[in-house]
Amino acid sequence: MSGVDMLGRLFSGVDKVTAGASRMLARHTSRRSFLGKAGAFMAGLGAFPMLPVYREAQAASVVDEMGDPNSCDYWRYCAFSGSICGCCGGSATTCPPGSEVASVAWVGTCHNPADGRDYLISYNDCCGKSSCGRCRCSRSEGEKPVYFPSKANTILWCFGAKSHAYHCTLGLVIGRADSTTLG
Amino acid sequence: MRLRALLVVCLGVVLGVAAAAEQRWDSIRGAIEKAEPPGPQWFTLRSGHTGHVLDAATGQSHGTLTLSLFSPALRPHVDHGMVYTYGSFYSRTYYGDRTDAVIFFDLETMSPVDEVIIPAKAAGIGHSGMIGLIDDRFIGVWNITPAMSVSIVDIEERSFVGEISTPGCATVYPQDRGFLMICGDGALQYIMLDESGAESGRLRSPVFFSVEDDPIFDYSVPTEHGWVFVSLEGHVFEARIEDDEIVIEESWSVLSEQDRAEGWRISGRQPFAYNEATGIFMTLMHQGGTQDNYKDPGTELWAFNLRTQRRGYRVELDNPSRNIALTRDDDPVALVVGTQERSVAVRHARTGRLVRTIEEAGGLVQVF
Repeated sequence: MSGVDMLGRLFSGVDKVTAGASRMLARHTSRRSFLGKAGAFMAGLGAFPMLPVYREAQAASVVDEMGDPNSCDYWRYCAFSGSICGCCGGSATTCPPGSEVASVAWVGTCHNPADGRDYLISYNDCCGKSSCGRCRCSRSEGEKPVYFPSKANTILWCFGAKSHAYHCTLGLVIGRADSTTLG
Repeated sequence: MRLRALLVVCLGVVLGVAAAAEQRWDSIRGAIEKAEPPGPQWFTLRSGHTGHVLDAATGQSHGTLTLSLFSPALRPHVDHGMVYTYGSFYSRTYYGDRTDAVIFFDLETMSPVDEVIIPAKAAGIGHSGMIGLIDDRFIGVWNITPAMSVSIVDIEERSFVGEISTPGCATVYPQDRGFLMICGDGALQYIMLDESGAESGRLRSPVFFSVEDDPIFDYSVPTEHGWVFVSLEGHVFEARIEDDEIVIEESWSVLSEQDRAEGWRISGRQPFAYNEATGIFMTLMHQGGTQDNYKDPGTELWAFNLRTQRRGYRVELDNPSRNIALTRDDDPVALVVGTQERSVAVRHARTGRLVRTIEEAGGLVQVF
């Protein structure tokens, strides 16, 4: 499958993510509060009309996996560039305290050795602090130059954060590469 | 007793005069150097938030420029005695209110002398293609938010002209009163500016490369007619503007069949360089891997003549490199920035012979 096809599927999956987030908000908030938050959320979406990915950081892994999340060899990091957040007070899915997760990310397709399947990985930067500088890692499987930004890791990806000072990078599993849905 | 005192005084006077004549002592306050006019082999190295100004002819430093934490590239403008750059500044260094500006550095004092505020959208990392000096009059700065655009600054008026929307297209490679961009659909785009710096039109080339199968590097270097682009598989494309069209010359390859069979690939962050006066075109090459290794350090330096498309020599690098440049003079040197040892190898471009090594230097290299 070509990367363009995969991105097409990824875009098609954004609606489902948005719908899921809306349902979650509806379950946990009053109607007035829900409308206010949903409005703010949609305004946020409107501010990023070209986003390849817009979602909040996911905490729990949904796949069987093996390997050290603080190692550059970790399967999720096949198109990673930067510092691994697990070495900076966070984890592969959570930003370190005091940093802010970017709402836009570049995307890689990585092979999970635990189940032999390919997954879409969202590399969200954590921003707003000085560079962590630990556990630097640079891999470029399927990575592209900057004019194809959704697959480029040589862009400062702190979009949507209050500060674009780079701190470290996450590796979020956002779906299977052979699936039309995310998460 | 009087005589002895007189002799001591006289000796003191003599010694004092001698000391003064020899000027044995430095000023207790020191002094501040001013840079001499740039020579033909001056270049800059940007590493972190410092821009070093060096002379390849001597290996000497002529000063540094204090940059922002988000200033990927510099643009020397020798005729104006300036170096331009851009940067982002936060009121609390890493957070707080953000201000983006094009900064004007005076080459003699290596100090900022002016600035123009631009939209807070500038790409914070990258290479020399993020900023361009257009027709000696305008500075273009590439923005990504991730929507793509270019901010235009008038360097004579010292004013912000405007922002030009360029969806899906990156980099600023100036030609005449306009600039070329690389687009994600496999084409080039040319934005024309009018006298005020506003967009007056745009051209689009035919699609000439495949982003999926063989993308071109987002890096480019100027030729006498336009710009040269190279694909990850080693195909060389020259582009120019002619009769309101973007002309892409027929491509040629830096790799022979034997080179391909041996697994040679072009790679690096600044993986090729060109000198107009001699036609010398250089590439950084490594062996093995796939297109995914396109940013790996080169272990060899290959030298071609762009006009004949023939290779003249290849040199094995003791210190592999991701960044090369060629000075613009008619007897140029290649500047080969090492990755294992922090140093720059200066090589005679016609022969490949090592001229000198500049120690404790590295980063993105740009020639004057």
